[in-house]
Amino acid sequence: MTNFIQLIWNEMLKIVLRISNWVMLILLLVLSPSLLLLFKLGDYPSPALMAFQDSFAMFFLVVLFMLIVASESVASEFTSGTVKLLLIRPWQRWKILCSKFLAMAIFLFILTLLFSLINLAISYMLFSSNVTSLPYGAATSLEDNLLLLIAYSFIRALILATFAFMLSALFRSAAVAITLSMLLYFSGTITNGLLRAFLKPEDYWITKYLLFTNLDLTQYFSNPTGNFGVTSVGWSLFIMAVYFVLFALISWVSFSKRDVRA
Amino acid sequence: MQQKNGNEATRTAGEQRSPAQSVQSAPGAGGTDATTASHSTAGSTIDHLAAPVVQFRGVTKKIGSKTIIDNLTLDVPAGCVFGFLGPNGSGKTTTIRMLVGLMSPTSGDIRIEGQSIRTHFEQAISKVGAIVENPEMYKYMTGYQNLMHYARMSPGVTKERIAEVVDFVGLGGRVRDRVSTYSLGMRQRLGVAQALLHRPRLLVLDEPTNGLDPQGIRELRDYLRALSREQGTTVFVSSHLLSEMELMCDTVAVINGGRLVDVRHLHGQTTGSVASATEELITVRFDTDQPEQVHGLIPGSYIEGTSCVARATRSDIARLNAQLVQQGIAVYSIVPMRQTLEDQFLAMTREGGVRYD
Repeated sequence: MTNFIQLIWNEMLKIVLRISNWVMLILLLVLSPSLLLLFKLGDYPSPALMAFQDSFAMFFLVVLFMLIVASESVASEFTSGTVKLLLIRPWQRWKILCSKFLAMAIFLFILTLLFSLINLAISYMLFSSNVTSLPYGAATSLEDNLLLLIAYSFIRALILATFAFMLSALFRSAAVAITLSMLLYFSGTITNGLLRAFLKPEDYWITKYLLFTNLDLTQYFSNPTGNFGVTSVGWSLFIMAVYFVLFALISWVSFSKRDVRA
Repeated sequence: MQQKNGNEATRTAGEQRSPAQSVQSAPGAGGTDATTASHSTAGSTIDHLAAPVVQFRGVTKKIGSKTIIDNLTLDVPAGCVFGFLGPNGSGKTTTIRMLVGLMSPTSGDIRIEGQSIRTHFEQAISKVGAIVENPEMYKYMTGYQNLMHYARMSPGVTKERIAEVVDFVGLGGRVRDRVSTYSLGMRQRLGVAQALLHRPRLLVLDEPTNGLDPQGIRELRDYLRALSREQGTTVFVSSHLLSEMELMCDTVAVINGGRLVDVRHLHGQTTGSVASATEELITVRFDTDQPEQVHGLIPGSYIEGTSCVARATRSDIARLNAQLVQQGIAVYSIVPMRQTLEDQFLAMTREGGVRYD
């Protein structure tokens, strides 16, 4: 059997060679530092590292981009009919699915790095590097927090992209997968706010098991027991892992076990 | 005329066709006998005694309560161009999808060179190159990038091999262009190229002439012939275009309503040697100045236009000719009517044909 890395390389090329993805990438790189420019116009008083941290409010651009890429990953093979030629190679279907997932994860990693680097560079260009105060919890240094912030953002985007990936394999239609994953992404964010506003404290235990209340690990920077005071970093990671396995299982079953009729 | 089956539709079909051309027919369990039986009459250069490349064994496919393929047992001998013929909706595409592992049979098994596609998928499929339905490629990539994509997925495909295949299908000048700029004929060529990259033992083509112009069809036919003859590749090709199959294939299996109706060898038919060598009844057309007179002389004949059509053996024809001349009837021509595959196919599929009720 030839090298599995070749398969991942194939899938990376499928993401990279699409012109629509280049358009989105350029949009992402242009728009992501826009918040920093706003800060500058509004006389933002804090040092560069703080500005960099706040610029992660724009990370939703990476998430949206990834939802599209993940939705297209499996479904576009079906809508274009190329899946028929892809699956008649000497590779079992689960390996092809894995290569697609890994290519998507690598692409997300690259996007996260690009996003971080461009925002870091622009932060230092626009603001002073003088650190006067620690932004979040006093226990950790600012640099440690930054790495965690990037890692947490990556994990959150990865779980959301896995969800879109699952929809892609399940419905075999990029349009359905993009629409549903976007819808659930936004409604999840809104649900979070609604729960905080209206859920009674004695019912807070429900949020322990919901994906959306556990998805954002940066909540533990300001509060070690989370937004609802019932979770921890470890617990949230565990819940995300459970959901991840569930999404992966559904993707695997719908991709490997079903007949191809496209 | 050998009839080994009890299938009502098949039996009726058998009676309607010319026995001279009926080499054999054996759906169901007799699949192995069927193909080997035909080869004794084939004076073909291809080694037909080799083990079958594909073995369908009791393959059944049900979708919901509907049976798409019903207990298909069939052997595809090595090195031949094997036609898989049936009207639309007869189950050709489903069979091909099961053959290449895109669908899994409800019961039964398919083996490619002895390896089951169900239990040893990677080993079995590595011997297969295929185009299933249309040659769909990644349109945002160039032809060459598409080929590289598939080359990376099969072991041992070098850049030299890609160049060789591109040259073989005659795509050289355009291979660096995006596929979105290709015509259907060029995409078909690219499809053949990707199917040949890893030098498959078995080439599976589903409706390969769909949408091709006559020249493209001609070229495709030449490729397939060349592959089969020069490299010993077995070609399994499905179509509903009967005239195409007649020109392309050594052997044809006819499927209708999910059942195998007939397997027959076409070699004798194209040369006519089978009919002339035996004292079997063939259909001949007597073109004379007095067709009614001829009709009166030959029992069982009928008049068609200005000529009379009768069934007779070779010696009968000579005797009848002498008789007609003796009676002062002007005989313009006596032409053996070669029943086309199309006539036979329509006869076979007429009864129990596909109905959507």
